[in-house]
Amino acid sequence: MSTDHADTRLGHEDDGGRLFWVCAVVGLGVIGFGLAGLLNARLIGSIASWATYLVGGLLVHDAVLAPIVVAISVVLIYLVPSRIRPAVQGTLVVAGSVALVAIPVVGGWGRKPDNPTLLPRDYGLGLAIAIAIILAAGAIAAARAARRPPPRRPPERPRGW
Amino acid sequence: MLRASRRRGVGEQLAAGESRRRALDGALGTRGVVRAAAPAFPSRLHDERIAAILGTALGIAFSLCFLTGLYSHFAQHPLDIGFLSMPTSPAWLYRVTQGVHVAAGIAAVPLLLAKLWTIYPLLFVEPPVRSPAHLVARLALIPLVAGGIFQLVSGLANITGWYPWQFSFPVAHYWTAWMVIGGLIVHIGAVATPALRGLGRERRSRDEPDGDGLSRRGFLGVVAAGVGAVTLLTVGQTLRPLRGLSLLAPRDPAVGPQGLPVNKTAAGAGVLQSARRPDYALLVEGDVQQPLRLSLTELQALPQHDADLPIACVEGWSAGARWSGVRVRDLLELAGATSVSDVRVESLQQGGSYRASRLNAAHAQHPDTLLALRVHGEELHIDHGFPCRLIAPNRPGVQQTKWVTRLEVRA
Repeated sequence: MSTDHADTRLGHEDDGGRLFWVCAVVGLGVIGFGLAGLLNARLIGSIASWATYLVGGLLVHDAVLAPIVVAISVVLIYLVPSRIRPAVQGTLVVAGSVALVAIPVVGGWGRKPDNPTLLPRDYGLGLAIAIAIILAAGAIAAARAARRPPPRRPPERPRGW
Repeated sequence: MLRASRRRGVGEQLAAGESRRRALDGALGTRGVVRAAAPAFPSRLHDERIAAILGTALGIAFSLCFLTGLYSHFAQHPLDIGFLSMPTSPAWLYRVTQGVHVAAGIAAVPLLLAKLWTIYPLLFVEPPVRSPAHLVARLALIPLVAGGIFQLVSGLANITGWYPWQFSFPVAHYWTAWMVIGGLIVHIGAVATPALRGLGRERRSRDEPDGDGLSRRGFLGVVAAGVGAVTLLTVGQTLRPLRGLSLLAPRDPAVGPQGLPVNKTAAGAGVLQSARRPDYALLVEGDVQQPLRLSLTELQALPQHDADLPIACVEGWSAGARWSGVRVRDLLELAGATSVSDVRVESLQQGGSYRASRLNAAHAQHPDTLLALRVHGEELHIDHGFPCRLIAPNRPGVQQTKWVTRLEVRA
């Protein structure tokens, strides 16, 4: 459709084509349906608590988690040789995903004294085993990358996050 | 027009074999957008093709969560309008849909984080709003992103029985899902063109952009590995053969009294005494010719039948078992219920949202719908509903009422 092969930039959304406005009207209607349903639900409990978690989750990602990832990226650029950096980055992505998903089970805040079938395992140990396996896989990948011949062409583009 | 002709020029230069960056620099000069954005987020991973691939995967995961969640919602709040009534077969349907719901939600955690990372520079785009359409598209990202994070966080906490908030989880999770899917519809309208372009064949065949660190392909690979890891570490709570790998699953389908997990214990439901009283009786009442009052001994004396049915919990775990007991339809026949539109099944439990459930006509008449007295050949453990519990095909666990004491028939 386009001869625009070079443009891989982000952010080239449609600015107001017919498809966009059809989707916008339908989508905003569905959003409104959800919001109205929530505000009218008798059993919702605290709307303020819902709003706090909704906005809180967004802020924790955009203002805490993402900047932390940027900071880690910067540290990696200075500390890790470029040849093994992909292996280190990959290890951190996988281990980080696993650690995040493990937070509620390792924390175990949902445990109930009358129900030992809920959260029956030693999740700290489970997480340690999982992370150890991921680190081992990452170490193997890094060792293999270090033995590969260096790239012929030095990277042109600025390094970074 | 001017820009279009410039871009065609870039394409021709590329076709002539020049590197993308040199071609772009030639076309746009030092004021080129890529150069302007580069100092802030120089990584080649902030890329249209990655955004398109991760966005597609995430859209599929969110859509699976939404559809299976909707199914679960209406399984618990039945519409009972013709074909919209919950079917009795396949018996494993809810087990699969709810297992998929939770697994897709867990798989969406690395996908969402990777997607948000890819497009993070767009949070700081200049100008912040460039057109009415751009404003609408950006505003709709709030329910999509904030709601998406909310759904994953609240769902992950819920499957571990953890409720650190003051709202009702099922109500908030249900209505927020509509906001997320509405935001997704607007987003699809906004990014359809670049997403299709990013997924297109010419993008796939292109060389990796220059740079060091993870390549695009490498990044997608490790995100896939992250999805695989979180899935393997949890999915064994419903896929029994993988239970040994599921070090982080909130449940083990083999751990519990009589080899079955428990959601609500007898102690938690406050029925430790009432369920063991010698004068326990099951009442069959309502629109019947002959109301029944049956002791446990009388129930045991009725014809017993077996059914292999799963307990499939809304929290995403499931476990199959062989149940034996009295068919509900035999009890209805014994009470002389000639026409049955639904049956209310009541527990000894005094309070709580799940102390009673309803059987629609198809479920009430199904030969596998039992008031089970035994599981795996043993008398039911009190945490599994002693003296008797409802077990029926294709129902959420919360509707398999335990400690049953009364059936109320409606014609």
